[in-house]
Amino acid sequence: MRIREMTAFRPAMRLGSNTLWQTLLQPLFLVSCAVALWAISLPGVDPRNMSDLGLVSVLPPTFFAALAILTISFGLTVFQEAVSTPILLLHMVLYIFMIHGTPQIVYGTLRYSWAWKHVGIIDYIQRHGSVDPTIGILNAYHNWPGFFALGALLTDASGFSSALSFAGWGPVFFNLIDLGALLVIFKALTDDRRLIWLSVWFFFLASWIGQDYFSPQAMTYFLYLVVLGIVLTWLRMRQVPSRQSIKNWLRFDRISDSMHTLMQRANPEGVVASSATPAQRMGLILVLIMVFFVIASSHQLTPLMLFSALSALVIFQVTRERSLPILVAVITSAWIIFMTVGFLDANLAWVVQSIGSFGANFNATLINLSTASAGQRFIAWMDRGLSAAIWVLAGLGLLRRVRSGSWDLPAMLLAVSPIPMLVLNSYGGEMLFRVYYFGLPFVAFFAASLLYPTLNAGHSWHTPALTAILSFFLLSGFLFAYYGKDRMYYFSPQEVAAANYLTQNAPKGSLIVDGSWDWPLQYKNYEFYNYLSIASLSKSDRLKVMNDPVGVLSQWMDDVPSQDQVVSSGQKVYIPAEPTGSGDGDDYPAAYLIITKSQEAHIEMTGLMPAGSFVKIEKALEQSGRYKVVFSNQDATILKLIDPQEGPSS
Amino acid sequence: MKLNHTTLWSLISLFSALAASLAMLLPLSIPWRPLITFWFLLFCPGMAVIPFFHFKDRLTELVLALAFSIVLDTSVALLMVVAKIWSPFWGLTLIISLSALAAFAQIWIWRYGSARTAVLENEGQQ
Repeated sequence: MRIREMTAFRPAMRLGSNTLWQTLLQPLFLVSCAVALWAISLPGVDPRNMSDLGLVSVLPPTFFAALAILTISFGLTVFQEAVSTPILLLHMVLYIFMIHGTPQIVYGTLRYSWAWKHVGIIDYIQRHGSVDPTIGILNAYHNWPGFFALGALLTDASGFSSALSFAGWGPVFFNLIDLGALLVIFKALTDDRRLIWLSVWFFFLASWIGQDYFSPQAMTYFLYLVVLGIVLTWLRMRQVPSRQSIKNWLRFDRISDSMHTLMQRANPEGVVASSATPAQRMGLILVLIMVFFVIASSHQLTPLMLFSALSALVIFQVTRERSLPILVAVITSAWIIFMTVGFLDANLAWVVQSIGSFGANFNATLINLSTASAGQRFIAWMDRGLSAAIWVLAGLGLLRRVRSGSWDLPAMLLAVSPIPMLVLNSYGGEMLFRVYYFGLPFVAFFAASLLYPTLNAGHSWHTPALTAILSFFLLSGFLFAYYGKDRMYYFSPQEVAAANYLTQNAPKGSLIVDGSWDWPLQYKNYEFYNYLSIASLSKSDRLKVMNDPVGVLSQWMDDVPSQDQVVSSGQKVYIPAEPTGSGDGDDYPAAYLIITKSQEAHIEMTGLMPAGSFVKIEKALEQSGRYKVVFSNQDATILKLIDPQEGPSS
Repeated sequence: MKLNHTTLWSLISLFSALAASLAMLLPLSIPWRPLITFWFLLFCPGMAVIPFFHFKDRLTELVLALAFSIVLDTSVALLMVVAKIWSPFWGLTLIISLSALAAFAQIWIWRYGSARTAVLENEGQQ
């Protein structure tokens, strides 16, 4: 298809020749306006006033005006064939800073509680110089420590005391490097630079999943894109294989014939793409082996996605390196067998149980709309609508591409290759999101193909207008979907101060009870403490706490439970190998309850517990006389059990 | 001898390795040390190695340089963590050494290649 596009006749631009104004001055002027509006929109934003619609609810009109101008400018710029790459790059970089830099600038604290936990694992490595694969809490991270080892190296080598110093800029960094990898991929799929840049634009407009924060998956996703970029650019099949060679590979006549027909249609000229020299090929495969090793040691899901993608490319003869999926499988299996025994001991049962449960794995991702707040129901429909919209656009784009003779077999395969993962596992209720995310680059490519299906198409004034309209449509969904949960993802400096108080004052072995896991927890000395989240309890246990907070919580906070008690009550409690109780050996040295603004927001937004539940619990404990307030500010309260040994039992 | 972009990359890697060494050894003020270290660790190992492949596309080279740097840094850090020999100083030293070695090799190839070309051109003229 590349050959077809390269040799296609290009009609003269109907809008006349490109002028300096259209290709340089106009985009620079519009981009400058967008930057100015963005800059003046940020100082007045108060994230404390966020509603259930998230950050969008407190951003001023100037912020949206800045995005609108940038969108219009991009639509006009990408349309111009003579526009230089730096101008297009400027739009993309600015978009990434505006979307992903804004929360960091406005909040000033690390967004999203899981990012704090990742900082906590790096803190563990900095202090211990190793990981503990048998540790009871956040166990998976110790078994796949690649990203955290890198984080610890970066932190220590830079002279920082904690990864908190730079983790907040993770989304900006990861999106910027993803941009480079996406350009490599799209350049391998088409020679039409309008299609290349619009695909990148649509990718970032539909990438609402939020896996770009400071996390192993963000790093391995970039490496996943790089692997695909290398394979599609340098390790492609030189020409469509003969019917006989496909038969030798696939054995069955009918399948081989169908495959040959499909591949001929996908590559009518027979010649597919440029390829690497033998020396380049050898070097690239060595690099790929190192990449596979880092992916396998850093994240559980990405190797499976990579295996699926590479297998599809090998089966359909897109790449001639048939060993690639085998290498991924061998390296990943070796890592799992030899390095993750501690994790498998504790988790193998549920991993095996969820294999084949397609329906359950699918539904586990979607939030329960019957209990969520009205705002969150709206957000859920926006993110579902955005996901559906980009797939519908991609379907229409694919039709246009096929009608014009471009079958784009590699992109088709890679758009659907993550889907089989839904059969494997629910992945903690996130599998559907991940499937969407891994297929998104290729879905975005087809969605962009709707506007620029061939080099000959998309030259009328309708195209920039339609680009702007579709971009506004996707952007409005994206802003709600991406920022929609920020009322619970934002942690105020006061909440961080409360978390700091605990890490500085709670003795080793203490129990830290929280309303929900949604606060800046476990970022420092995390293995010193035991944890219990009320919102993570079973429904019956949550009811017990609500009905008798003093009795139930005092009993739990008084004594270290046995392993049986922990399992039966569904508590997320980490029991240290040697409890360090101060009394009879069964007590925690201290027990705290921390309630924060973001925890309240979490239960209100998800409907896990009635609104105001934590305030009621907090007041009941205060009034009981058995707890004292040891820390309090406008966003957080910490209560400490005064004398655990004399607590009433329910 | 004309400085090509491959050699320019190698020189940048070499100077960055030197700067990272100084940042590690000298008590530089905080704002500069992270900038130099991040720049070096995230780009330079790849910039020193990837030009060996002779890709003609700058974008591909840049993305691969970044990916290779991340992969090399992670591999070194992971090795230290798994083997329980954690030492950021020695880890960084190893990465600096490997990068400097690759950059020197690039520069040597450039000088040798240029000198050889000049000799061949002279022979051709005679």
